[in-house]
Amino acid sequence: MSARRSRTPPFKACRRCKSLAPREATRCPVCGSTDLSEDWEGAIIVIDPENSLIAKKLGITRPGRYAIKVR
Amino acid sequence: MGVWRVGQSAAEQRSSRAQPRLYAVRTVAGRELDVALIMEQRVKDENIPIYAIIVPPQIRGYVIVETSAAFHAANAIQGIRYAKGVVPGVLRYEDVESLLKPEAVVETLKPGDIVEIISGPFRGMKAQVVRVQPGKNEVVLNVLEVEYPLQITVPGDSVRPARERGS
Repeated sequence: MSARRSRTPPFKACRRCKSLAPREATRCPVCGSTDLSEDWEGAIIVIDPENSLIAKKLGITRPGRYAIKVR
Repeated sequence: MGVWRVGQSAAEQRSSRAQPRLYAVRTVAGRELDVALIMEQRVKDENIPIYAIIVPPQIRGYVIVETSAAFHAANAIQGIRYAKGVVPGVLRYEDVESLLKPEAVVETLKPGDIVEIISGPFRGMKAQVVRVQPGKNEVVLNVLEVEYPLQITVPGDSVRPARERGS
């Protein structure tokens, strides 16, 4: 079985609002929560929430980086 | 009058052009997030009308871009080493939405089902579901590929239903 090389992601995800924060952060820059997780999957980078249908469907109103799944 | 009409149709054309669509961008597997982050920076620097970039967890080697036209996506990936090109064709919103809202696997499992363990020390092994605890998002399994009975409790995200091989 070939071992897949796993790289550490450069972000942590907030369990409360799902936004991605830098690895060094201890607090979520969006909601202020300290409940950050390194175990997350998938990302959505919202640049223009007003024109983005996906952002509207997911209820995202602020531009930023979000995780899809946070454990 | 005529000029006014021309102006109106141009505005209509512009509004129809601004309609967001989803395009897939092929990337080197494992470098999806890198491509998305470089694209994000470029979109901000060069004011490219890309509204959102999606890195779906289930699909390796693809990034989904929400923009009004494929050439905007092509512009944004130009020169990125790990991006291989824009896939011709448009994706449907319903299909992408189902990638973004994955249903909890635990709720679809019942005792007796065969599952594959996809993370942790037993990764790659098949197991049989003994009990499901949806409240805790956990599932109790009997590992099938060991010579002695082994019961383990794993998070619901660590298993996926095993595919039946065609007979």
